[in-house]
Amino acid sequence: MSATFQWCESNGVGETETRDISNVNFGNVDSPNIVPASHPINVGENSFCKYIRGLFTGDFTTISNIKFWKSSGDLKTGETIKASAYGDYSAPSADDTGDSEIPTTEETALLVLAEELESNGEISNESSSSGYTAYIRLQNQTTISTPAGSANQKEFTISYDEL
Amino acid sequence: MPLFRVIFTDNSQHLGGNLSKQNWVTIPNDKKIKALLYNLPTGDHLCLEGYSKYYLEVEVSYSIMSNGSSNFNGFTKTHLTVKRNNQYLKYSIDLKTSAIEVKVLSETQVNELKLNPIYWRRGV
Repeated sequence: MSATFQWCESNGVGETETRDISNVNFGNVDSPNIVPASHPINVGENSFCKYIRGLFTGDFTTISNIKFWKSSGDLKTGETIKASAYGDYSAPSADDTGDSEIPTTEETALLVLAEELESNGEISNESSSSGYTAYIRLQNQTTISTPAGSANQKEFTISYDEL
Repeated sequence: MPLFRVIFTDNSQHLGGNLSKQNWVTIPNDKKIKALLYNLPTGDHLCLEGYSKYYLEVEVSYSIMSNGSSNFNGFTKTHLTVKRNNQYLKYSIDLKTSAIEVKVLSETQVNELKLNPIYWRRGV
């Protein structure tokens, strides 16, 4: 068997984790699995940032070389998605995260470390039966030039090497 | 078909498993690998022979959407990293297109791959 992977999102001041989230819809609320029509981002404003991470469980030996990038989905005028893959969790807000624009190719992808580093930076199943990646922080930012209406669908991909 | 076949210097063999359970870590480390035959998606073999160290990994990817749902993309590549005469080669086999990419890596670049030292397997 190979590792079982789940996307997880953390929310709230006290950090409530939701495992096996079904999407990373951005909105004007700190919540997982947002329905965008119910929580739209006003033009010129930012979404609440999202803290997501990967959870590996099951039968694996090591996980390494974890990369994250936006693999598809066009941005509208004045729209950007900011991302970082380091740092601790803090309660999500709509303040500008100050992160860089998300990479859009595997070659330029963010390198994501394990939450608890083993001696050489991998996630190992030797000491425990599960492991998290570090947090990946995402935020959708708009400007006054961003057209009103639904944003395009975007796809985010994480890849890793497994043994 | 097993993912790979290892032939040791004593001519005994070890069979690989599949992409989910590769049987790599069960390769005995007290034997020296004479040759590693990797079964390519095309049905041919990639024969790596005469190297001093071998390391195998599979690459997996998952996607998640905004305005959509997450989906498993599956196994995308197999990576075989080998060492000979202080030179490392990394063979990356694309499991969809069968394309093989070979990169020459420095010791520093190999260190950046974060390969676990205990899962290298010995060659000649």
